[in-house]
Amino acid sequence: MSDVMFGLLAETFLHPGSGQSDGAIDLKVAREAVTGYPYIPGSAVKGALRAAMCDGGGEHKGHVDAAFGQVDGAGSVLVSDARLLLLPVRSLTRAYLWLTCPLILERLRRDLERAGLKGGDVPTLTVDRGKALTGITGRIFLEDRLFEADISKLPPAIPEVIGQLIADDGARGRLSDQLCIISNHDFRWFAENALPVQARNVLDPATKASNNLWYEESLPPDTLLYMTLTARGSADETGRTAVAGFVEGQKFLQFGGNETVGQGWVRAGRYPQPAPEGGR
Amino acid sequence: MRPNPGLYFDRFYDGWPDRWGTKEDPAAKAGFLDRVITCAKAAKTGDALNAMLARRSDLVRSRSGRSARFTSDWRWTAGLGRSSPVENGFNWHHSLGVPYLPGSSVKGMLRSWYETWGGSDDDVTALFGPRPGKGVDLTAGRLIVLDALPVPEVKLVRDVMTPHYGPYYAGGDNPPAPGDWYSPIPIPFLTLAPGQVFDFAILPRRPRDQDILDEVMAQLAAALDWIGTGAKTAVGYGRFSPEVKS
Repeated sequence: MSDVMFGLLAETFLHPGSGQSDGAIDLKVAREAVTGYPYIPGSAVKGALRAAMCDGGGEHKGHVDAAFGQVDGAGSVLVSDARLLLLPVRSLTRAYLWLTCPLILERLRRDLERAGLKGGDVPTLTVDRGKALTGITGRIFLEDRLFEADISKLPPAIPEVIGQLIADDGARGRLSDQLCIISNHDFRWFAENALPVQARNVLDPATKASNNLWYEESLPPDTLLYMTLTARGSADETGRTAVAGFVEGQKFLQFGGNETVGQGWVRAGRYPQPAPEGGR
Repeated sequence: MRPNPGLYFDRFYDGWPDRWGTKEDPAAKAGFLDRVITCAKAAKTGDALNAMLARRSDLVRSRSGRSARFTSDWRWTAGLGRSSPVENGFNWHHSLGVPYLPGSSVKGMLRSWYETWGGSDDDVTALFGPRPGKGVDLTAGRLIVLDALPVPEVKLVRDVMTPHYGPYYAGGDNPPAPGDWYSPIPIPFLTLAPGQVFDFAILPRRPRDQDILDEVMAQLAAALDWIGTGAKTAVGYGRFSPEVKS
């Protein structure tokens, strides 16, 4: 039996905090140590799933301890990190382009294979620095950096596989128009520097003077991540099935910080999402 | 080309004086803001914004939340404190390229309204959570306040503020006198034209929190009418009335 993979499409800004500051930005989002890509750690995903299921009423609550574990016993479900697949980056060509890179696509292929899911035929790519594989012709500004579009080399299999992780027909319909693959080296710069930063403060109730000011990084709406749910022992898939069923039923989940100011909502779609009626 | 006006505003200011002079050039700033407005028209953000609003009402329905639309009575602006070459920043939505009001701003306004005019301290703490402080047990409030998004059409206009006593305002704790011998300096900034519709949405954090939402939405309407959102509310910006369906 294969594992279950969910695409997570950000509906709002998302703040999976790292609790760390780099001096200029007070609250950074969590990043993988080696790649520098923003992500939601598996522990945060698991905690959010557990809390949501506890709130979800009797039917779901009954599965919580067995699936997620208790003090004296491990749970039956393995929850992966939510890994970055598409990062919206501002452009002068579109409001944003969905950026990804060969390394991320290679990881997606390997994660699909490990999960026993079809779609492992994502082709291996190489992209030169300063080049962008996309459906748009000409020169492309991403933030204030210039890229040269190469429209001939974007394999159709890539938007097809990614599209099956997007649970919104409208967003999936825009994929081929906004997808843009750049080199690993270039992507790392955007993953590090091109996330939205919000300035926040608390005003003094009497004087309306700013009491403090802090800068907070987040992942923008339309960011696409994915996660995998695996049964710990292959014999018993009850917990995995219960959690996957819960996620599918909820459709919307909240991850990360700033919950009460509306951040962290994702639309979960189980892979493979069927192509919309009428096809693409 | 459908550029992101927020990117253009943040990164492509072209009015720097030659040789990195420091002389203020209001005309260059005004010209740049006019190009931002032209860029926003060319961006045709309406379709993407409508799609996002539809996705959001899906979220609000699915979480048993409430949303309501309000129309600005006069101009609206926000994010002026963000750093920018034209002095005043602007709150651009990263992926949509339109102005918006973050959920934290809406929540802060609503909390301030409740603290001043609304229920007891216990009510405020239950709804919004306690203010951080020594010996305070932090708990989350009962409400989730989403970003307020504009509803197409989004119409930007250039506005101007003309402080007459710059050295006095900039003087810190020990300013020079606000004398009439200073020259007024026009500072152009971006606003939304009057009559802009915004979509506000609030979710209950837990299913049991649904019962308070009708009251909260009524208080939101009152707060938008009386204290307003965004910047420069003390000079009449940012007040809203419930949307009149035409």
